[in-house]
Amino acid sequence: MRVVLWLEDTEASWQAFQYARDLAALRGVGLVVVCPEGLADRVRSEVTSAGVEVRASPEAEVVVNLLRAAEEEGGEIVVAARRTPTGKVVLGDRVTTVLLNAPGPVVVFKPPWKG
Amino acid sequence: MRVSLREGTALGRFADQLGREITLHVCDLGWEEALYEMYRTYDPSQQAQGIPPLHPLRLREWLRSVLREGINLVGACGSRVVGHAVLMPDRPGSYELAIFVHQDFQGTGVGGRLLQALIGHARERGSEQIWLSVEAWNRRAIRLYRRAGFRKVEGDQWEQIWELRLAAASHQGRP
Repeated sequence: MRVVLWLEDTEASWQAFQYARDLAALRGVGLVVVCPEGLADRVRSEVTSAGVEVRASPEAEVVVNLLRAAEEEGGEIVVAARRTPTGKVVLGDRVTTVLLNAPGPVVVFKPPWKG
Repeated sequence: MRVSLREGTALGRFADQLGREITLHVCDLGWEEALYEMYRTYDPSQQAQGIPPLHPLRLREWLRSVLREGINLVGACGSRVVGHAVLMPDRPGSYELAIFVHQDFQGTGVGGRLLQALIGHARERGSEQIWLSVEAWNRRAIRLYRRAGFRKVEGDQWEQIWELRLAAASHQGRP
């Protein structure tokens, strides 16, 4: 029952990556990272520990592949929300689709205040 | 805590639709307490995408961050802050807008005047673009943005992005 993370190339998402790694380590389980194809090499170079599987996905199919991974693992999904400069939290259509369709719990990681 | 409103700091003054005198001020960190008072009694059901934060400590953090880094305008009625609009720097020349009017003063023209004054202030400072994010069902806010000349540039069923191009807007002669 590995933790499943949706990684995009945003600051919030890289912070969520750290969070998901810590969460998986605490549980003593692995981590599945679903990310767009263009990001896969960079993610693999960031990963030094075993137990992290990187699944590259065509950009348009990231959500479907994320949900598929969560079904296989039976665990939870970690996603990142964006915080705008005024502090508004923007989920976006795709994160909302994940929330509504995930088979289990979804952790929405919000970046902390920079101040 | 009360703030003394010096005449010299007022950008403008007007009467709202109920005849209450409102003054507009550019504000800085010295306004934190007066702003905190407005947001402390702000209707939580009108929170927009997580701001203003509900928890008092987070509200403090948020206020300090926008006062430190943003361009802030307030509308005051006597010593009471009743509206707040802020532009937070994004990319060069680009700012994100957030605006809140206390429920006791909504629907009386305060938001429109505050927004107009902030846009004028931003234009003088050479900014080129103001954008904002709004929930799709927040019709009161959307009407305010449309009247100020904003155009919707992105949107799904949850959130919309609206934008005002300042160079173009200055030729439109909007009332």
